[in-house]
Parts: sequence; C-alpha cells; structure tokens
Amino acid sequence: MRNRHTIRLDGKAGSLTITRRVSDLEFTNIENGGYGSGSFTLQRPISRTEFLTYTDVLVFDGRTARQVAGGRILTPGRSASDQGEVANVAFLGEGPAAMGAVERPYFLIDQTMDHFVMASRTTTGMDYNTSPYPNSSTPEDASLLMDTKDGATILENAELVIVNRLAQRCGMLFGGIGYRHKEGQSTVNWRARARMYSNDLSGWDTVDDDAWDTTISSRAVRTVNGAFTNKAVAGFQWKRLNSDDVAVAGTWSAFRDWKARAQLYGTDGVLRTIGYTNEYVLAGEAFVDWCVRNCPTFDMEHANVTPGTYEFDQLSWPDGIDGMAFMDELLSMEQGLMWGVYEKQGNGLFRTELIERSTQVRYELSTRDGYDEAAPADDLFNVVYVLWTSPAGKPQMTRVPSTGVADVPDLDARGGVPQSKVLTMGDEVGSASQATQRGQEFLDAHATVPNGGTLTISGGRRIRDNYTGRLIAPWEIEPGYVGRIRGLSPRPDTLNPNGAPNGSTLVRIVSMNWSDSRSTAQLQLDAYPVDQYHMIADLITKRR
Amino acid sequence: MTTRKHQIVAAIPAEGESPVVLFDFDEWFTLGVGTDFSPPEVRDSSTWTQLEDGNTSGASTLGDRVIRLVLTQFRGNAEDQAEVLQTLGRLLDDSRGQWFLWQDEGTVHERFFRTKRASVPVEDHYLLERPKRTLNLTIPAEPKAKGRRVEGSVVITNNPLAGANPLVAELPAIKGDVSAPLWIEAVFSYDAGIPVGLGSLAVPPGMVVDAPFWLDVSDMTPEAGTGYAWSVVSDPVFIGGSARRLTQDAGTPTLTSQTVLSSTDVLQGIPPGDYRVFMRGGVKSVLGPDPVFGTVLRLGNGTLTYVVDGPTVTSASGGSGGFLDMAWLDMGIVRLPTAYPELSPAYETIGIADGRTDFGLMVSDGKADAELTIEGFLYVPVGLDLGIDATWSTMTRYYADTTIIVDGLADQITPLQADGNPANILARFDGWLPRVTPGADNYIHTLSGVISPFSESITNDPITTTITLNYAYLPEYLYIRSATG
Repeated sequence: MRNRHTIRLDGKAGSLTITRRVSDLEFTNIENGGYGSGSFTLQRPISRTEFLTYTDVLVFDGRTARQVAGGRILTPGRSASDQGEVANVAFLGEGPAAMGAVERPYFLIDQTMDHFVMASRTTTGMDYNTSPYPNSSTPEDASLLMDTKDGATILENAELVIVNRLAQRCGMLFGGIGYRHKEGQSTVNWRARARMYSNDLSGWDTVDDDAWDTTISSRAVRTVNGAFTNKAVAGFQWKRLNSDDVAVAGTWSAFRDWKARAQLYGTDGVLRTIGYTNEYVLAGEAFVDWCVRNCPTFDMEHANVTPGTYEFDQLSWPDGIDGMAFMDELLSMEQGLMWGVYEKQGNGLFRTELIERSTQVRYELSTRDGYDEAAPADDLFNVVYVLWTSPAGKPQMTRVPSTGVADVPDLDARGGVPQSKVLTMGDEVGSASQATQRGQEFLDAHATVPNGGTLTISGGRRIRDNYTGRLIAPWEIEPGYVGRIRGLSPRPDTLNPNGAPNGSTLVRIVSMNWSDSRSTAQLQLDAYPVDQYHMIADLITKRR
Repeated sequence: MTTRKHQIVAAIPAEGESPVVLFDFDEWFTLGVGTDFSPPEVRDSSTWTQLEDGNTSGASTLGDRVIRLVLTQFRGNAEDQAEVLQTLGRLLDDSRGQWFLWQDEGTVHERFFRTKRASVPVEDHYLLERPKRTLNLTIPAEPKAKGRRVEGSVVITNNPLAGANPLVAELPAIKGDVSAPLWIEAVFSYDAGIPVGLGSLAVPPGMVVDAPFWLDVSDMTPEAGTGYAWSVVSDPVFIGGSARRLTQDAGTPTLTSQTVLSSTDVLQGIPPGDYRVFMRGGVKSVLGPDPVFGTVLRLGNGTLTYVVDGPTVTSASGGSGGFLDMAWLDMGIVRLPTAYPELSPAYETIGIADGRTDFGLMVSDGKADAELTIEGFLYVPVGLDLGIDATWSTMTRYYADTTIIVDGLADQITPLQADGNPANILARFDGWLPRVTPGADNYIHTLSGVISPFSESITNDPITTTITLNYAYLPEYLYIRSATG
C-alpha cells in the first residue's frame, strides 16, 4: 500500500488538497510543542501563489481522516532547475510557531526591588534607597528604605513617593501586591501608604494608609478584587501630617518582603479578578495567561490545562522573553508537565494542552527495525550549584543537596563519587526556593543514564497503544509518553506495567520524525526536557 | 479481420461511442516481436534487519509504465511515410501527453494509456535493395490504463433503519483491476450548509461486513448515577421513533464525570479494526449557546479501560430554552473489539468469536436542567487494518449549497451555487475521498450532518434528509481486460 497521508492547505482564499503533487513529506512531532515541524516538495509552477507564508498545512492520516501533523508555512522556497519547477516548503507547528513568534516583556510574579524608583519628593531631607534598615538583625536584608537627614526640618505635608512600573513596562496590569513595613518610631503624624497609580501618577487608589510603628506590620496582601482596579503602577508614599518635624535617628520607614502579581487571563479570555491572595503562581495559570495574551489561534476555552503543583514566587522578564523560552523556564522547574498544540478543530482554533507527563507505559516498541543508543554516563549528576540573584540584586548560590550527594544509583555504586554541574538562572532574579526547585528537578532528570538514542520503526509496523487500545501506525505516536522497548535486556524492575523511564527498557519518547520517502519513523528517546527549546530552535533553523 | 488495435485517440469516449482516432499504428505498420505493454513495476520501500527473517514493507507504489512498440513493414511511398512520421512526431512530442488505445486480439474491450512525451527514433535501412524504415518506440505512460467511464446513481437516506439505502448504498460490481478514485455529484435534499461525512468501503470476497454498524440506544443500558435521570422519549423525529434522554437534576450546577450509558457485547462479531464513532444526539439547555456536556467514550473488556475524548456538546445558538437539534457528533477513533488479541496485519481478517465490545459513554460538566438526548451510536470503519479498504472524509459546506462536486481524481470538492455555477472556493475536507475497488463489495456511506469537536453549535440534521450521489469512475487496468471486467 502507499503511504496514505493527505495534505491540505488552508489559506485566506479557501482550502486546497495538494496530496498528489507532494513528494518527500517529512514531519516531526515533539514532546513540548505538539506538532513540531515538517517539510515537503511541491511540483508546481512557481508562478502560482496559493501557498503563501503562514498558510496552514494540515497533514491527515488518510485512512482515518485524523490529523497527524501540521503547521504554518514558513519558507515557501521556490526554484526552477533541471528538477523542474518546484517549491520546497517548510512548515512549523502552530505551537512552536505561535509561541516562538512573540517576544515581549512579561511578568507573572516579581519580588525584586530595583523596579522601584523615586517618583517625587518635596524635600531633600527625605531620601530613598534599597538597603538594610537601621539595626536590622538580618545581614544584607535590603528593603525599600525612606531615610532622613538628622536635624533636617520636615515640613507638614512633606512627602516622598516611590513607584514600580513593572506592569506598565510589560504592558500588563497588577493583580495583587504584598508587603510588610516597619519604622524607627511610632507616630500617627507620619504615614506609610501603599497606592496603585494611574500611569501618569495623576490618580490613584489608596490601598493602605498606616501610621508609623516600630513593630513590623503583619503582611498585607491587596488584590484587584477590592483594593484597586486597572493599575499598572504600584507605589509607596511616605507623608508627614499635622505638624512640622525635625528628623532624628528614628525618622525612617521601610517596606520589605515585596511581591507583586500580574493580573492574569483565564481560559475564558477575560482578566481574572480573583485568585490573587496566593502569593505564588502555578504553571497552569502562567501557561493560560501567556497563550490567551499572545496566541489567539490556540483554543484556550477548551484547553486541557493541568494546574501544576510547584508554587513559583519569581517569574519576571522585564527585558523580554519569547514563548518558547518562557515555557522552557517554566517547565525546567515543573518537569512533570508537558505542553502541546495539535489539531485544527471545527472552530478553526488549535487544540492545546498542558498535561502531566505520564509515567505509564503507553507504547510497545521493538528494536527490530533499528536502534541506536548512545548512553552518555557523564550526564549523571549528584550535585548541582545553582547561581541566582536575590531580590536586592545580590549574587547568591544554592547547593542541591545542601550537603553530601544526591542518590544516583550508578554513582552510589562507585562509592558516591561526585559529579556536579553549575546552573546559571540567567539575568532574571530568582528566589531561594526556586533555586532549590530548579536544582532538584535537574538532579531528578539526571539520575539515570539516558538512552539518548534513536529507535527506527518501519511504516509497515503496527504499534500497540495501551491508552486507546488501538494498533497505531508509527506516525501516530505522540511524543512525551513512555514506551517499552522489547528486544533490550531489561533490568529486574522494568517489566512491570507502570514505571518512570529507567534508561533501560522504559524510555520517554521525545520526538517522532516521519519520512514518507523512507517510510520510517525515527523516535528520539530520553533527551532532557530542559533541552527541548534548543532542539526546537535547531529544527526551526534547519533547512533541508 | 483482426480486433487488435493500436491508436492514439483524442479522448476516452463515452460508452457506446467511437473514439476520435488521431493516429492508427495498424494502418501504417505491422507491430513486431518486442512490442510490450507489461504492467509497471512495484517500488517497494522496505526495511530488513538481522533480527528476523524477511522484509517489512513500509510502503509501495507503482512506477511509470513503459510501452514499447516495434513498428515494422512501414507502408506507403516516401511522401506518405514523411507525413506519417510528422504526424507521429507532433503527437508524441506533446508534453501534455496522449491517450493511447490498445485492444488485444480476440478481446472486446480496449484500454487507454495516458502517455507522456516521447521521442520518435527511426532506423533507416539504406543499403537494402529496397530501402525501408523501422521504428522502435519507447513511450513512458502513467502506470495504470483506464477504461471507459462507468456511471451510476444512488440515493442514501439519513436513517440507519429506513429507506432502501439506509446511510449506506452498495454499488454494482466494479470494473477494472485496481482501485480507482470516484467522481461524485452529491445532491442534498436539505441545504443547511453543515459539514458532511463521506466514506467508501471495499469488502474483500469472503467477508460479510454490514457496515457502518448502528447501535441503537435502546440496546444499551442506562446507568444510574448522581445528578441526573434517564427517560425514554418517543417522537417520529428520532431514529426508530424513540430516544433516551438524560436530564440533569435542577440545582446541580455541574455534573461530575461519570459513565452514564453502557453496553456489553452488543456489537459482537464486528470485524477487528479502527472505527470512527458518531453519537446521534442533541442537547437542550436553558442557558442557550454555552457548552453543555463534555463527552468521552470509554471502552474496555468489562472494565472500560480505554478512554477516547469526544466533543464538548454545545446547544444551538439563539433560542431561549434551547432547541433540540439532532446531529452526528464525531466522537473520535476507537478500536474494536476492545479485548482483541494483537494479530499481525496479514491475519486480521480472521474473526475471533469472543472479542468483546464493552462500551460506555461518560459525560461531565452538564448545566442544571440541561438535556442530552441520544438516539444511538454509529461505527464507521476507517483504516486498513480491518482487511477492508476504507476511506473517510469530513467536508465543510460553506454555503447552503444543495450540490457539491466531489472530484476524487483531482482531490478537490467544489460547491455549486444555486444557479449551478461553481462557487469560487474549494470546500475544505479532512481525510481521503471515496474510491472503488474491483473484486470486492463496494459501498458508499454518508452522514449528512457531522459535528466535529468544538464546532460552534449543532445544526439540525433531520433523519428524513437524503443525499443523491451521481457517481462516475474510470476503471483502472494493469494489463489486459476481459469482456466483463
């Protein structure tokens, strides 16, 4: 039988099925991204223009009318040569294409202090900096400090305002803020006020108006649900009321433990007004917000989104990030999840999901058609040093585990020889808990020797899919799931039906490349999830 | 008189008509030894390893055919021959190709080869007492020869229990050697402009497949659960005159995900393979056009292990209180029987008596007071694993077009406007267009209103509608043709 893929172009002017004119169809589906990339050659007069850039390509399994690959045409390269007039068409899956297409400043939750700048003051006697407040018992404990010159006269109604324009810079709104404050003296004539400003600072919602107190305040968490509306500038105001004052050593006030959350979109495409009292963000809500804002072709209303469990307390890229790098950062700390964008649905949008990576065996594979394993033992690590930056901008290091070495069976067998790695978390600020999480997820992924291999499957095989009970064609294999390879010598614990990848017979399928001209599928096995972005970047730039 | 013919003709003529002959080889030549119309070679893309015997075929296709004509005893004088050679050269040099008619001695039917551009090598024998010419032509051609067009017409009713052709029609014996694409003019009795499904089945000799398979809801078991109740509703608008209705309790804001309907072994004996399942159903909601029910199919050997996501069912937009519009809801692809042993592809036509087909419907996220009315489930064979050559395609209708042209030869579907002119847009479709296969029982089946997952709303698709299929095909041949084939 011939390979029964059918290929359709969906453009502005309608649809065209081009199956009979296509040769060398090839496509790759990937674990994080869904439909990845592909290419084909079209025998076609090059003067015809129906395959414009960004036309949708849909590849169906002609036997079942089920879509198995697709994307946007990125490079409709045309040539006329001794091969005739042909178009070499490359397409990129809607997921990676839409995600990678948008680069923008973006934040979800932020606790850095350098976004605060002094907006106004009425006297040079009042000054602002980020440093530990006087007599702080915690060394290097920077705060948002308003200090005064000893002996300076502070007139009644004198004030100093600092503002944080992070949300405005990102083109977003604040959803919630949290902080504590403490002063050098207790008086109702000095005020510490939290305010949410309009962009030109001419109007504001007063969130809190507290008297100065030498006892540190309880934590205030204020949200768009009641405290303020539609604000992209957060601020603090220190103000003298009722009488003039002469500054003394105790005339200072500090806001500290600052955290701000962005107002997020829900799957219904509307900005959420509740849910901001949690001072953390889950991977699911981060994914939904990014996609609703930036990827209008994804069907977020019907998307299957797992919330995730890890509580992120720092996700902020004021200098800009693209969607692929964003998902890479997100999933490097939540490696139990994977995302993908798949079929074009009846409503014209693409099916989207962020789901848990299953550890159940889904596919039964064999080595009969070829298997190539390059097991790099030097990719095992039992110690990781995570370099990050504190909210005050100071370099930090977190060792994971804090002492000794992590449990890595192959290294333990050698007496626990250390193999360590340095992870730099980039220019963006981290937090201690996120540094630990990042390190731990890295160690978990590097605890067994990966197969890192390639499994070849002939197009004539049928593969057992334990999820749907179907016998499927090789091109229907969905990356991200675990397959069991028969034909390799198993370890004692690997023939049970359930289990995480163990580097032996149970492997995670990272990508599936199908070539019609070779009639074979090539499965990439067990690469590290954190490397996905780089693999996709390679795919995008790779020209056939 | 010989019935052997070798001609270049203008086109494949209709049945009963004579072809317009552009060049008749037998008029000027005698065809000699070495003339060859052998079938094309198969190109097989297979893999092999040292781990097992034999090759695994990934895919195979036919290469181009090569027609060899050894032309001797060139008749006529020099001027005649010059004219003949010029005519022949013009015809064979045409890059669009020609239709070459071949009819063998003693047979009653001709075949038509679609040739490609060829050169005309001529051998002049100067040294003979009476100079003569011979021609050895090598003409590339498309792999399969064609026969004269075969036409037919069937009317299919949108009801598995009524009409002469309930959802499916059997076609008369198909001519040819290999499967051929169909050209279909589909005329709808109902012009709602909703997507339609169109499939073909070729059931090989020895198999009896009464597909597509209809499972009426009255043969299924309504499961008791929390938050809803089942009732039976009778109305002539339903298939068989009745349906089952799931009504969500008032005050229950959302339904927990649970299996509400099941069947045990009702489809026993179904040929093992992949099926696309359509639920004939509709919803009614006091809330209007919101998504009303999430649906999921569950299959398994008693335990309902395998899960296939179905569509979220949305009520029709507009009417307060909601309409009750029934349509074919595309639930996705399942494999049946569910407890079927894994067989190698070559042996999958062997039936196993006790393959079980336990099957259930799971719903979730209903809205208070919402109703889900179900008439039954339809199983449409898809894929090759059945031993049946099956195609399926779902196509979008853009307009309230009553006629569409499904051109399987060109892989395109053209809607016709009310005045009969083609619309200036090609219809979108998923999958493969219908084909016919000789040597098998051929069926065409249709669904007039298919709702794919996350379509905006259900559009009513009455069971009284019909689709008239005026079809045609060109039988395709590898080599020789018998009087009946």
